[in-house]
Amino acid sequence: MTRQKLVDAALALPLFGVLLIMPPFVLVLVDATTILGIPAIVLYLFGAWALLIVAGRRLSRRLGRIADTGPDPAQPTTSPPVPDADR
Amino acid sequence: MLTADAVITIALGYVGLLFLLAFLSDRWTRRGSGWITNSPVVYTLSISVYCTSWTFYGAVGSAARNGLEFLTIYLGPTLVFLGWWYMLRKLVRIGHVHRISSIADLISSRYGKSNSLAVLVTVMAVVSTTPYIALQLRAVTSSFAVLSAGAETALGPGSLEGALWVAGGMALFTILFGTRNLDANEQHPGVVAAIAFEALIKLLALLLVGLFVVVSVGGTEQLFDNEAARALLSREDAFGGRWVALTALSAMAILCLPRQFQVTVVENVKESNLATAGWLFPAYLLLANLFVLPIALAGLTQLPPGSNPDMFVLTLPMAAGQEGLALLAFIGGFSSATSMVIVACIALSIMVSNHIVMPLVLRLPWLGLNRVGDIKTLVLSSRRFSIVLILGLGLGYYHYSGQNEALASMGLIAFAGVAQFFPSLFAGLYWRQASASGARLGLLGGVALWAWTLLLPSLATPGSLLATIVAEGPFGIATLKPQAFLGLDGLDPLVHAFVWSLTANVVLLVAGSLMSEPKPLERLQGTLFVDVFRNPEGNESRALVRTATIADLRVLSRRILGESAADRLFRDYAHRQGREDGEPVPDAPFIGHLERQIGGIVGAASARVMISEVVSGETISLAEIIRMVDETQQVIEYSQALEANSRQLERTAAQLRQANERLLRLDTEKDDFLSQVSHELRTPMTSIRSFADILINGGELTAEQTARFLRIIHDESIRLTGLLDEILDLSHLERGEVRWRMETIDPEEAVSRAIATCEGMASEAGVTVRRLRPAGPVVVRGDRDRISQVLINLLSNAIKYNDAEAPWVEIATASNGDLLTISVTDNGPGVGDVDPGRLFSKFARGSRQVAGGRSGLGLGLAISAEIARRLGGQLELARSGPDGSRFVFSLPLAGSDEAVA
Repeated sequence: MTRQKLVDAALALPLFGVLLIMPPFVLVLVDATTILGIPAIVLYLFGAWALLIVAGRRLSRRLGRIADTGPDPAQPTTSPPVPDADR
Repeated sequence: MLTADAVITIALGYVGLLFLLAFLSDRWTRRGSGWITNSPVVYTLSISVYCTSWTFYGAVGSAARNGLEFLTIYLGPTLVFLGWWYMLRKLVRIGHVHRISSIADLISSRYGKSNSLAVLVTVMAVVSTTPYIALQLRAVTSSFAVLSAGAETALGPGSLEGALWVAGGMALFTILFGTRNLDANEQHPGVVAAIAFEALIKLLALLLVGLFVVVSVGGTEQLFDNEAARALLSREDAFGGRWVALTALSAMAILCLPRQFQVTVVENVKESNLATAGWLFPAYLLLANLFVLPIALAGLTQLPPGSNPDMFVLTLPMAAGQEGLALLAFIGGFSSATSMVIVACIALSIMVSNHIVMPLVLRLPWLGLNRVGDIKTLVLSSRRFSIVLILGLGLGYYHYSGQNEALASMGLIAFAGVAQFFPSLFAGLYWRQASASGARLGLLGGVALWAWTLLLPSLATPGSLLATIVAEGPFGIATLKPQAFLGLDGLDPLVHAFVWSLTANVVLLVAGSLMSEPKPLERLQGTLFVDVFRNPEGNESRALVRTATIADLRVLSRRILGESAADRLFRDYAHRQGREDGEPVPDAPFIGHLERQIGGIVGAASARVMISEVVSGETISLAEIIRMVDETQQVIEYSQALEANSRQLERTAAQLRQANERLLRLDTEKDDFLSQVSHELRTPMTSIRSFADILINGGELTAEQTARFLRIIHDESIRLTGLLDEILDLSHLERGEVRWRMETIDPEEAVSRAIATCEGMASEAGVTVRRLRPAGPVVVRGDRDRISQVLINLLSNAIKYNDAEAPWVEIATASNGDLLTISVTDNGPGVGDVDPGRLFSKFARGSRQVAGGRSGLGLGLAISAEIARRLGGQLELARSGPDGSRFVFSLPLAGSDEAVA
């Protein structure tokens, strides 16, 4: 994955999380059956949570690498490149 | 049964352990070991100060009352931490670059170092945190009362004496490790280590109690398969407005709660620690909540009805006679309460002392402290005083609220209160135009509505004046009723307050920012904060020009940082400036650096006031601020331009590569062509030359022989000429130098002519030529002779190479509206192994030799194809195989009007 894609994924993941735990999607499992004696909605919420954490872990590790080594946008711009020299 | 004395002894022992741990960590760090401050795990554990006793006891209580709703408090922070790259990273970077000491400092610093904003935020933070501290004290005393129930003790629930002891111990700890000395970074390794340890203890306690409950009840089936569980978990309204509002509130609170800001931003040492906290903190929250539901359900089904759900964590092990586990649970709850109180006290004391006490003291001219005196000691005393003050407030609230049940809902009310900081915080990070007036208006409006719609109803005891106001509105004005403001009725009170306060907050912030003109310093700070990743430390001195005497600066910094720290700072900076004498030049970057160092201790607003006392000629260049903004813009544009450029270059390179390949192919073809031509010319030339040699040298030749040789020479010359004609013809065609005699012709006539021409050849080879004419009366535009040439070439090829037993050739015409096709089909051997793509190029010729040894020159198809192309049609091989081949020559039909003309 390129740097830009990683950074975009870092935004997409929490948004996806919002989608998972907010109505209307969370409503699908209310009143549903139980699995192994536990209501499906409970399993769903904790499962979605765990899934987000696992995805977050993978993403954070790669983001952590580019934050440490990648080209840092925080470089000082005291002499910014000017596209056209005659301005 | 545990005696009260035993519990007290154990709790004291635990506290002693914490003191020791904090002391040792402080000492290790001071001696240069960075293990505690650098560890991402310790950092993450310290963030879990979020889980207070409100989580430890309250989450179970909430689950027992409202089902799954308790999860929202942890899902919101989960989402914020998963998105750490965007908000938290920026916050932490700003915290480092601008030496931010608290959330009040951040908001004040962002909006032009305005102290009024800092005061507003501080007051609001104290107001919403005080009940929260009271809540923690209550949790400790009530859990103690439950644990030592029956034992003779004065420390019953709500007892002031017990709370006083607890508060006193916490104050001591906080003062010892929170205000040990002044650090420009406001980092407290001892405190962080202690709360990280407490985080582990409370998690362990919750997990063990949970496991015990699940095992002792006999598995999850028993827990969930009963009426109580079903009624609790299948509530239709579980995922309505409250679900959304609570998730949003907790997401804001994790950023805005003073204690969270303290551990996440201020105590952060390394930005990269966020990469771990980004997933580990959500994982901690998940683990802490794993057994909340089982504990709640077990409490509801196992314990006698009417038991307090807030104490299930404690009462369940006790009911089962597990005193050790109950004691661990008590210690866990104690841990969560103490760590919250300690961190909240540190955060609030920094805010109160920096933004309320210090500005007051500095502005009282008769104290004269703005010019002389030891500020460092003053700051430390005011911190200690603030800690005692805040704990005293919490204790007072605890005492006077008595058994008021409203205390339990205080957690959410505090969340909604600190959430009022969020709009200003968020706008401050991402919107350059957000101004101090807007932030002030938004905060005031949001806080006012929060107090009216949420705080006030919570304080109303039945029968009081407040209760009347809640029920009927002030002075009976129904439209102002706190829980149905302006007629917005039918919402849950919390959702109602959430919607009103934050809407007002955001609207006022935006409107205020759009309508006010920000001061130059606001603009500068806005640029520095929003573009913090492009404006490293010290970049502000580009726009902020000022000067001072080095002596004044030295006096000031000695008063605040202490003599040795100030002298070290001056020496280091002089070294950085490359000056040997240890005396830095008091230029704008140095003054900025100094102001930041001072701001890390007393807050940006106070630092500015102090620095302003000694600097002169301060100007803020608006043009430079605009340039800084522009540069950011320019860099973005430049990189976009670069990207576009490189894309274009790539495209051009691809085109060039293709062109080069085409050229190489053409070059090869040209070479092939030349060698073929030489070869074709050489064969007749050789025979002509050898026969000519014989004729010149040979004497003994009969007249018959001579005549035969001469005929051969003649024939070969004709062939040579024909070949040269064809080459010339093709070359003319390719270069478009042929003059075309375009006319409207009947294609059938051209076909007839071609067949007539080839008749002799066909009968000689024994080939039957058949003709089908389904095309009907159509006309085409073209050169009569050239069309015939193509047809003759196709026919003669078909005849010449046909070695079938009963050879035949079929020529057929057809039209399909705007295209005439003439197909020539034979039952010969096909074109064989010639690449179809190269069939129509020069000298492409089947390797098979014709029976009579006569092979074509190989230019015929190339010429025919070229003619077809020039006439707007094409020549293609439609079919080829061992049982014959078919060539199709297509030409555009002439339009009917043209045909008439």
